[in-house]
Amino acid sequence: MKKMKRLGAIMLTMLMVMQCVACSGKKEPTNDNPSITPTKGVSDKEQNNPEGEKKSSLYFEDTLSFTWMLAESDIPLKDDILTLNWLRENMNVDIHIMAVPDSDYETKLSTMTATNSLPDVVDVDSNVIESVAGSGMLLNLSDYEKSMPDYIALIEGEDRANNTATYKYNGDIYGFQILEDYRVGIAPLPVIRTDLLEKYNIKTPTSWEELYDAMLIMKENDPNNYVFSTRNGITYLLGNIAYSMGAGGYGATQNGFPVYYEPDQDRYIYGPAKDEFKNAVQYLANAYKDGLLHPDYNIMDRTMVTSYLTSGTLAVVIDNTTFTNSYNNAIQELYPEAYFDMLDPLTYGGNTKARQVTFSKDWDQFTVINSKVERAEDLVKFFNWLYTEEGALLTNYGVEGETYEMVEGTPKLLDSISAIGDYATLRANYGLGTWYIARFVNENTYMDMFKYQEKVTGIAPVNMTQADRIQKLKEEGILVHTQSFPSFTNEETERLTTLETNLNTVFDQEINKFITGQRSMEEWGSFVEELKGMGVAEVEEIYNTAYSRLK
Amino acid sequence: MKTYQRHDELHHIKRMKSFKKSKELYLLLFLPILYFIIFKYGAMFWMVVAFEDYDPIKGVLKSEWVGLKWFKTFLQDPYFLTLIKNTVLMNVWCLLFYFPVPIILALMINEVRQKKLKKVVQTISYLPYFFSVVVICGLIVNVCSLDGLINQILSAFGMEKISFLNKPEWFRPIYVLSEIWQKAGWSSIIYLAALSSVDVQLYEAAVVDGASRLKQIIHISLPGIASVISIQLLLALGEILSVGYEKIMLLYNGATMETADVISTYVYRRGIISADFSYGTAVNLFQAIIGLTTIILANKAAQKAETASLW
Amino acid sequence: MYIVKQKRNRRISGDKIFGFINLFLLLLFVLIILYPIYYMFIVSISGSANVVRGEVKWFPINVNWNSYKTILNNESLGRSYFNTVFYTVAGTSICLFMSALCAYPLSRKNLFGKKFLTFFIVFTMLFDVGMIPKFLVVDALHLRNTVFSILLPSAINVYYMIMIRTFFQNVPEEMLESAKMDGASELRIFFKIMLPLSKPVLASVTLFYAVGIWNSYLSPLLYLDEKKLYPLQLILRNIVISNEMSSMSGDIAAMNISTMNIKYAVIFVSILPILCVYPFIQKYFNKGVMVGAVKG
Repeated sequence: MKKMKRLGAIMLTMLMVMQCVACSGKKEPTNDNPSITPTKGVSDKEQNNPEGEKKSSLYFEDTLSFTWMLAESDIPLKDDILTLNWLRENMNVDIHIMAVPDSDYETKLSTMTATNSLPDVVDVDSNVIESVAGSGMLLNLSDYEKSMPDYIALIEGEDRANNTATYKYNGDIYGFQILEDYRVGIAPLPVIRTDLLEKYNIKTPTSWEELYDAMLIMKENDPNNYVFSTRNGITYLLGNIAYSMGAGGYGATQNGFPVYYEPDQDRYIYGPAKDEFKNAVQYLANAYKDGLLHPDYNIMDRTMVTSYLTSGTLAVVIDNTTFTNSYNNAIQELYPEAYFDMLDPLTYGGNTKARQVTFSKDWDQFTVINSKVERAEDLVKFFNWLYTEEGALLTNYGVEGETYEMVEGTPKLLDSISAIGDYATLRANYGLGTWYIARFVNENTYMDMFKYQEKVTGIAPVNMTQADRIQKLKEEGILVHTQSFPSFTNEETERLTTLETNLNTVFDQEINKFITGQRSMEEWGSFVEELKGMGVAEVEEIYNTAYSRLK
Repeated sequence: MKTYQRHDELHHIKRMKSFKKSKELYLLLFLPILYFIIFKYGAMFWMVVAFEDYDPIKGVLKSEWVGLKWFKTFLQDPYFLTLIKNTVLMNVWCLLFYFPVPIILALMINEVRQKKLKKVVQTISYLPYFFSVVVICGLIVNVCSLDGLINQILSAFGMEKISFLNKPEWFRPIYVLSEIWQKAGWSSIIYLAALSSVDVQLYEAAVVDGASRLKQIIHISLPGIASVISIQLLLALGEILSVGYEKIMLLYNGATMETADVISTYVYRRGIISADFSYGTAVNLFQAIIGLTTIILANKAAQKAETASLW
Repeated sequence: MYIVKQKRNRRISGDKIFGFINLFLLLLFVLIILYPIYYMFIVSISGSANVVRGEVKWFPINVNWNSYKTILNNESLGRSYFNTVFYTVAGTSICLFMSALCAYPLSRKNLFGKKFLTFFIVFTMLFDVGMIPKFLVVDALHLRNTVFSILLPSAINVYYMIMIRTFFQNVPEEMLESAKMDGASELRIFFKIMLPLSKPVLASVTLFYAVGIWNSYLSPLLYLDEKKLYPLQLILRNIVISNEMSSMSGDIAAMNISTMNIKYAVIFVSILPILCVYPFIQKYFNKGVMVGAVKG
């Protein structure tokens, strides 16, 4: 009997605990400040902001509260953070962030679309828009064009009208794209140990051939050094090299399918079928044979690449150049003289002019609104506001006096904030930047940090000098942005899915055999014929038909 | 004749009584049955989607009916055979190389005479079973990488390093070996338990006859657990077309795809990531039906051979 | 006589060699199992530079607890840890209760329609419906984003339930009959006789359920929207499967470089409770687990 009682007691406690957690598990009361439920907007607003200075140009009389699904990676996302709190106080907008682990974002998103249970607002990429927009699950923003003048003005501006048009579905807009205002220069270029170049007396490579010779010398001097790799798998490596050598596909393009825009011919091309693509494969196959390409090239992730780079087993990596800073910090703990820096785009085969493709100008990330939301118009107005000067300032720089100050008409991070030193912490602590809610992105905040670092240490961080170089390369036309894909009709999409899946499967399986020497390069021609037999021409035709509709 | 009738009547009365008696038991069963109806059978309803062109907006009930379209598409897909081949091969590998290990392990542990030692060995061998798949896969990547444990051993013996996870021919061995590492100890419990119920007198008699321990194992222990082995084998056969997708998803890449891609990973990519829900469900159903058929056939065979069967 | 003795002696020494080899092989197996676990631990407490250089193999070098400190300072990790403990304790209790409740009537000989019921239940085992339909059910019941979405949908694992049932079946019928004579209700028999008698099997099944819940990530991922409800596995996956997001979208490299040490420290912390609890439950295994399963 005693035992029974004890059991009963345990169960009761358990139930109570469960209830508690259950309560806290329910959706947060959407309003953190119950006092802000004004009936007469203006007067209440003044009541809340007695100074009357922090007024926002947009204010909702009834609290506009919504859930926003975002991917969370290393940067923790919080509701209670500077920017979101500012919105609550000054605009009566209550954003509740639904942070989904980045590693499983796709799974969650897909389940939610399958069951038509998307939250109010979701961040997706263009592929998702393409596959979901037709179902009517997403709000058609074109119906609200009048409420989003600032966004429309941006996407129809001279510099991006062509590009953003490709993201329309059946001619309509379905998502607010993350747009670039100012971005720290970034490109998928080779990053190399310049100290080793000096040590072995190698001239800084300007062509792929010279890079190859440089890598050979490094290998000779240090046989334990595998010299080069990437952390994004073979297609990434191939794509970036291939573009440089006159073909393209993969690499910095947004899609997992190797169709790319060839500026020389003004049309979309299936990269691997182009003659020049062979050069890239040959290059990597040679590198593998000579022991220059790390045999684990396909399985490296961030941790692995970093540990190889910092232990001296890798000297060259083709990657997002902004990682250079972190590599330097890490390796200098072990080898103080070590220094990574990027190479300018390389020429190939006697060409005098290099060409290199970099990431798209704007982000392939869109904020879509669930068509079931009640206050669609207000939501559109709010998102439009994020693209205004005022909205961009808040989401990138934070709050005046707290995180930034105005110097001669331009915002500048306070020194105390710049002293943080790394952007991850800046974003995490104040809710700034792309991984939070910035939609019109201004990365001058990072430049402020670099400048501050330079002022304190006397050394300009490598990312700062790289940014200048990349900017110049863009102006010279050597570095071009990836062109996005045109949008397709439903039938086209269906056909493409089948063709692309089959082509990718065969390509993925065979390409590594060519690189590791299991298949001889002499068979490349017949392999390309095999690919062509699987509908390469049809794929290209679909892309270019869609493209011609845009023009 | 009469006796038969009476027997029937008796039987009937017994049944009625049994139902009345069962009333209380049914009361206890109420919650569990409710659970199965809601969470299991309720969810099974979704399988209808395999015969529809599912549209999330219209829902399961109102989506367009397309019959066997998706099954046909799958069967005609040139990739279909590769998938089947990979899935079956992966399971055959497991049957050949994984399946015997727990049995051998159990026999070996059973032969340990020192009680404490036996316990320690058991305890440790079960341990890895409790790690989640991500953890296991993190370990595998680490151990199999070029600077990993295996390659360090290889190079210590002067052999060439191998990038294991980049080679299609190594995928199945790695997969099976990691299964052994993680689960062999655990699966051996069932055989150990069976071994403990083998009659001790048989061993004593064998000792008197002068049989060696190896002979005892072959002639007493193994036959003693034969029925358990055959049941486990039947269960394994039922899963001939299913391999968990999670582990493979975490381990494969373009290079190893040609041996690593199995039905479940394909379903995950098509059905979940590419949001091809109807198609994914159809393939899933196909897989389940094949699994059910295999297990029934295997069971029939087992019944004929008069070894233990599942039912 | 002499000859027989000699033969026996030879046999005994042969058996001794056999026992020795057997033991040796087993210990080798144990080492293979233990080393990776040990390795994770020494990496997590060694200096990161030493780990990167590949110096850490057998013993930790430059022992420090920095990675553990980093983890302890991580807010979401702490909370998710608490959540996991809660889900595991509460979930296991529910699972255990429901499974035993289901197993008891099925173990009784005189249950009406027993065959059909068993089939009705076992059938669900053969069809794995996938994650979307499960999500639909949870959504329809309005359980989404509540702890119940984690606790209820997998309350009964058929395999474990059958294990318990078989154990119940082995409880001598006379005991139950005599209790019935005394006028005890089935409910009373269940609680007062069956459950106390079945400690071994219940303990084992407890561990199975607990491990299952501890390691599950798919249901929490799909059913929970609120970060403060996330269990440890979700966070763990995010750390172990290092994401490549910032490179693919061409975002500026925003993250700090996560080191091996931290990765392994997180892994180690995530398996620690099981390492602690497990030895206490293990003693029930041989009695419990398999009396159930073998005959099932």
